[in-house]
Amino acid sequence: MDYDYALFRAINNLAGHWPWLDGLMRLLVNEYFVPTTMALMLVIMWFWGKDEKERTHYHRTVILAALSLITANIVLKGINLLYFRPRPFDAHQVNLLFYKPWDSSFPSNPATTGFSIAVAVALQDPIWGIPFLILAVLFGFSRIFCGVHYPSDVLAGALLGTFTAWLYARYSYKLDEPIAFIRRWLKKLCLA
Amino acid sequence: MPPILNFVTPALALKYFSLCFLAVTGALQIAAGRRGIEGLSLLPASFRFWQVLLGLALIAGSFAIFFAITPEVFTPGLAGSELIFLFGCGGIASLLFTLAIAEVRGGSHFPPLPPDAEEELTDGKIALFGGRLGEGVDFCLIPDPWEPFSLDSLARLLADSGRKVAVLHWTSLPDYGAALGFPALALEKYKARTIVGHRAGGNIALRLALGSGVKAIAIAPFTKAEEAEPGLNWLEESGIFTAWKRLRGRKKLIEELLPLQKAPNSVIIPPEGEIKPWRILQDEVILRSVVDKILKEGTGDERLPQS
Repeated sequence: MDYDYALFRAINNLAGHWPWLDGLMRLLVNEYFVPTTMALMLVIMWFWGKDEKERTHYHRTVILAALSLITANIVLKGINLLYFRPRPFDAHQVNLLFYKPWDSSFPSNPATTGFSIAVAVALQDPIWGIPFLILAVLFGFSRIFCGVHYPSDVLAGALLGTFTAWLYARYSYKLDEPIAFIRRWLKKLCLA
Repeated sequence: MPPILNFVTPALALKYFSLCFLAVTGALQIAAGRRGIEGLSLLPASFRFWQVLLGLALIAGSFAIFFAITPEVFTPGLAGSELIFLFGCGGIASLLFTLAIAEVRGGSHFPPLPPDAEEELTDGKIALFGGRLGEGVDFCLIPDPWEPFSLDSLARLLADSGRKVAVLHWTSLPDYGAALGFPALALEKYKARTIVGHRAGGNIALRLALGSGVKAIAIAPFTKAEEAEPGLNWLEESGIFTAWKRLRGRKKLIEELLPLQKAPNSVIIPPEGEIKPWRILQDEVILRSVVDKILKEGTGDERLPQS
């Protein structure tokens, strides 16, 4: 049995029953709401520290999240060039609540984006990581709910995002000097 | 391979840019309100609750308007790279807008008050409150050279309580020599018994007291070199342009004046509770309590003014 498709069906069949849930998922599924909200949270985080120690911590977290996002998306583009997987609506009858994207279904771009930021933040600061992770999970779930991704696409995207975030956390000490350099320049502008 | 920036429709790009501009402005207000960052505040820093509320309203409102006027959200739209580019542009535009408005709104917290008499000395002017030229004074007040009129209100209150006060008005940013030379000249000329300094002026007062035997009262002086480092802490204190002006020489002067040393009969008035050092003279009630302390410490006079 195709567990991936079975799980997709179970989630996608929830669509169309409760207007409020459909509305919520349509808010979450698009490319604007979750990424912009995460970016806004990073902006707030940048200015959140009350002393030098806290600021160093938050600035480091924001920079690592940005690097993780960029790296994950570069790897994702590479995978997209090598492998194309049709979308669920190309092969099956689905409850489609979103437009029909034309790019590869695997791995999920939104899940990669969401988890690359959320895990990067969570690994540096678990408390701040909670809302980021909730948004990332909801972003991925909404893509299945609305019929544009298989669960395996979202899982692969989440793993890719998590892996790049983990890499940056694991080897972040090698970035100490570049991060300090960025902060030194922003300090001169009174912005760090 | 598709180009990195397509801008699928200019109208959609413009709408998303506007969303980012407004939402980042809101995010900055939340951070500024939470942390009391003067240089990022569209409202006075004391309106912290309203600032956070304004920030939340801006974010919620901008999202609501964006989704209401953008049916293209549910059609193929901007690519990820375009979103990042537009968020960056909107964010930078918002930051510049917020910094500029905060600078204009903030202005100087310490407008000059008209003194009763004024005299020109080398390196600056002396404003006399409650006295006339040629007289000795009870107090010599040394403001922070980067906040030249910060002690005028204090001087007026001291004068109203019957004291004679000389306030140094720096006409240019001093180096270490001038920072000590000008007040020393004023002390000699006006024979003050007590010197009172604010922020960097406090450090100058403490340093002068070490060698001269006069009593020094330092209001919220710099205690660590990091406080004089440029960075976000300066934006907490003032607008961005004022902060940049302070890049000229403040850190060097503070480093030369530190470590903080206290002559035996000198007094430091630190900020209390959650009051930031640079706000200690901005509140009427705190200002009056500082006057009370100065009168008690500076003259030994228990006869405090009726305030």
